[in-house]
Amino acid sequence: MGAVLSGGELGKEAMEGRRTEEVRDALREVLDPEYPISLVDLGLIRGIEFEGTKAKIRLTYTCMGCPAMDMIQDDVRERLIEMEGIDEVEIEVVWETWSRKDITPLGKKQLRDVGVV
Amino acid sequence: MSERPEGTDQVAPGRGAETEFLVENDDALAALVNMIAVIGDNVYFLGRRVSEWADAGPLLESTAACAAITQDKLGQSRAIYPLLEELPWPNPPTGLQGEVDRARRYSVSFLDDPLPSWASVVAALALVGPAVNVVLESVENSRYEALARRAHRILDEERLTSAYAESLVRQICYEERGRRLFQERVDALLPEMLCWFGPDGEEGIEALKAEGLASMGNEEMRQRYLDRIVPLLKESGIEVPVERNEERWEYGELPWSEWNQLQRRLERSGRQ
Repeated sequence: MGAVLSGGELGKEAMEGRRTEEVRDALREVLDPEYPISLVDLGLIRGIEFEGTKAKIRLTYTCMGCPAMDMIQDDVRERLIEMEGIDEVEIEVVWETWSRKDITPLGKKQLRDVGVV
Repeated sequence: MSERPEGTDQVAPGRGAETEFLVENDDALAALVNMIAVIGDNVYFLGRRVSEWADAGPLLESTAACAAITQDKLGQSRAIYPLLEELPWPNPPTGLQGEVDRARRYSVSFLDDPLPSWASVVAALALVGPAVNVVLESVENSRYEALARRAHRILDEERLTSAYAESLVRQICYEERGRRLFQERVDALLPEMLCWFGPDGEEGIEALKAEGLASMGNEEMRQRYLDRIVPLLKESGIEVPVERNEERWEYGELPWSEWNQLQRRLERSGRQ
């Protein structure tokens, strides 16, 4: 049996959820530097949280020797700082495992279209 | 607690959580710092040495593979080194970006200088790589989560490299001359790699186990390493002074008088 949320808690939770989705949508505009696929569809975004006006992003990479790590972090920051209500972006590299299974169906289609996967 | 932001020029891009990890037991903390430096340096120098063959392998495929392995190894070292800054330890070893960044090395002496032959490259990949992997397996479930996550990720990437290294051993041993050259490299490297896990019951390793920071003792790691490498070597016609009895591998006397416990290396090369 799930816990019953009060009206206030429900509102707060819904607002956080909406903010999370807005950030995820914004990150869909941030492309991997090598392929025309977003970081979200590539499966690199592993968590989105907020602490006031700070967005906390958990990120992994396709490989530990990824040469574009700095570039990806810069692009994430640059895009999110444009968003209303976000003054700071904190990125934690979590080094969770990544494989092709983490690519979304849309991402796979986009990669197939350019001859990858 | 570090106040430096992620992903700037001040912080290596592989840096993880900013929260400082606390270890009450000083022996365990010292051993943890040492283990991280040892993993980082061996991965770094393995990558560096293999990189020197990224335009000189015996086949186009092996040359390309050297480039790919280099990218993996240097990336892994960049992910490991920042942990040294997170631990509350005064003046930890710095991470390496270049060969002469720091005088004291925590890598095996076999990797000190450019590898002089393809047989040496195969020996390094087949004997150093699996040793590092055993240590990573020992910390894969460490309560130091930042290290555990990286260990898990490196081991995941290593599956392909390990399979490739095994195929290189079979290839080089297929012909008598290659087998003889590889045998010489194994003879030179194996004693150092067996020492690398340390004498059984080493205080630092025991402290790591007691604190839940590592799961395996010295001998357990060495036996697991031998489980992994000896069958392949023997099957490929390489002679090693190691025999299996009913319970464990027997390997005779190891050159402990030349062993540098801090830097986890034999001192025969004269390098500090």
